[in-house]
Amino acid sequence: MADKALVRRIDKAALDTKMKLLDLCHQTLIHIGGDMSVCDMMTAIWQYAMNYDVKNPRWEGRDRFVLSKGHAAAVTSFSQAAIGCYDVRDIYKEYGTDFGRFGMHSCNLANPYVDVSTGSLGHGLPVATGMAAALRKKGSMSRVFCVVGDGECDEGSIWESAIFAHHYKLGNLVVFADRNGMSFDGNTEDYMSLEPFADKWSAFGWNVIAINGHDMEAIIEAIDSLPATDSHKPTIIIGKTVKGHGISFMENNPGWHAGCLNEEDWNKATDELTEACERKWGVK
Amino acid sequence: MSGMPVTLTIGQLLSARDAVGTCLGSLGDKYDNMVVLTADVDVSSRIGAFKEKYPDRCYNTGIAEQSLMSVAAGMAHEGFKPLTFAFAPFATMRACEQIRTDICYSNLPVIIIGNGAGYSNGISGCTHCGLEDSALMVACNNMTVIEPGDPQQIIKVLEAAMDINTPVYIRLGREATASLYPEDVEYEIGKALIPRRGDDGAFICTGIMVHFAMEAAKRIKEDLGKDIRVVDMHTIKPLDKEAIFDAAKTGRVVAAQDHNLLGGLGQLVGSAIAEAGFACKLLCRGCPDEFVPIANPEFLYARNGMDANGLYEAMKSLF
Repeated sequence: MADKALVRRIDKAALDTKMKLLDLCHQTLIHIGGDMSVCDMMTAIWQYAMNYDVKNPRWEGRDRFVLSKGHAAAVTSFSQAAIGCYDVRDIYKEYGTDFGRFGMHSCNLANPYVDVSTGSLGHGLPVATGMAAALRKKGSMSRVFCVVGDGECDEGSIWESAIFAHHYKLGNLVVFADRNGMSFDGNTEDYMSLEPFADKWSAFGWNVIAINGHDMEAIIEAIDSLPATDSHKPTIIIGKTVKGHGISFMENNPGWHAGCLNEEDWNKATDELTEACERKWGVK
Repeated sequence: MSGMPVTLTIGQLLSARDAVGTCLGSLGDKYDNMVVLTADVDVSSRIGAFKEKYPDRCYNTGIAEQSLMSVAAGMAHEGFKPLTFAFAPFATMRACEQIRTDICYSNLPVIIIGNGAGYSNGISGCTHCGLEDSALMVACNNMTVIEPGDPQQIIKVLEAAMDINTPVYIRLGREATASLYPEDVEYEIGKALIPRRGDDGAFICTGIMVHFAMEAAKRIKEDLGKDIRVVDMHTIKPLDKEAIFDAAKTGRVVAAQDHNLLGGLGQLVGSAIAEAGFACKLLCRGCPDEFVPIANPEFLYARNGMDANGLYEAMKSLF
């Protein structure tokens, strides 16, 4: 059983990040749907799973992070800010500005906290497998954490990586799949069905952990149950999530794949989150 | 720059990929962070000797060029220097975006070796011909593009490519070629070599075309008494513009590459000459805008005026 205080702390951090995402979405266009769906897992990755030194993002002993669903850059940046990588105010100031550190997709040219530039889908996991193979070769005990979207798994390159990671026994590779059930156009099962999603990864030889991607206790327990870094099977934690999670008019609405909140919608969204927070924790 | 401990003599016949295979082991001795990755082409890439010596420094992604390039990028992020092998069209077209986004975007030291440049693989059909690879790789930011003229160079090219620490694409034809230079020739990326001097006109070529140009220049001297320079433009990007300007000053340039004309060496040379404002007659030879049935390279070179005879006629027509 995961420590209750720990779960509560990380869950609250996730809610705080969701609120910040809404504020940024009020300021500019972001991929809010996929940001919200992966926010709970993303927060747990940065607050709990990753062995990381915010003062030294190039520390050789760090766990690596690759955002394969590169359009979830905003939630990644806020999750990193929450552990001290940046001043959160800088994200609002620099997002989408000329040569700024933050934007629609992760770019490592101006931001040392980004290991791998991503945005084109089906690229992050393949690069992450290369990093995992390299860490193995170096005898490193660091892990590579990689976040993939479910729609992204339409890309053949994801499955090339799946066989590579299995063949080279990359037990140091941990993938979080944000199974929000939607790609840009709509439901994955209507456009390009992915089910049986977990079975596919099992058949490819991966260690599969299926959870509710919004249940922080389950997320923490999944992280706690990860096999040893020097084990021989890559792991995928498939989090069943909801696109636009927590905001009624965004949930499962392809119109909110990306967008910008007007004043009215922003008020409604922040009210909903605040209420959810009160219901869950009894405090604002 | 020191040469590799492999002895080749001028005139010795050696195919480009055999030359690469021969020197991989010693390259691995020198660069302990070098790893070799292939996409199910261990044998045709001639990496056997290296694999025997350093089995734990070899990776094979299976028939998966996209994975090949991304895995190489991941390993380069972690401080390794990957040499990747695949057929030129599969490496640069199937995995073009992986090269551009995963390797070049982060300016990673990955060396990509593409076999079967141009029509050299014509007998396998157009699927296996690298007709567009040079254009695609030239267009990738941060990428250096090389097409060596002879096996002696390849050894030095690989060392130079390891040392520049940024993405390098090396396109290789399949056919055996004779060495053009003495063993101690100084090789520098971005600096053209001149295997034959002359001021009455100039061939600017890469790869196998350099050899055809040498033969054409010899015959022009015999038949017309004209001295034609041969410029081995082994680095396609960055181009040695000084060598091009010097060639343009002869007033006659024939540029040839075993690659599609569109996006190929000739256009790069032409644009450099035009931008500099030189008045110069220019003809380009290369693969035309068409797919052809399975054919031998010699047939295709002759058909398109790319062989020694074709280059001879092209240069002659400028007088």
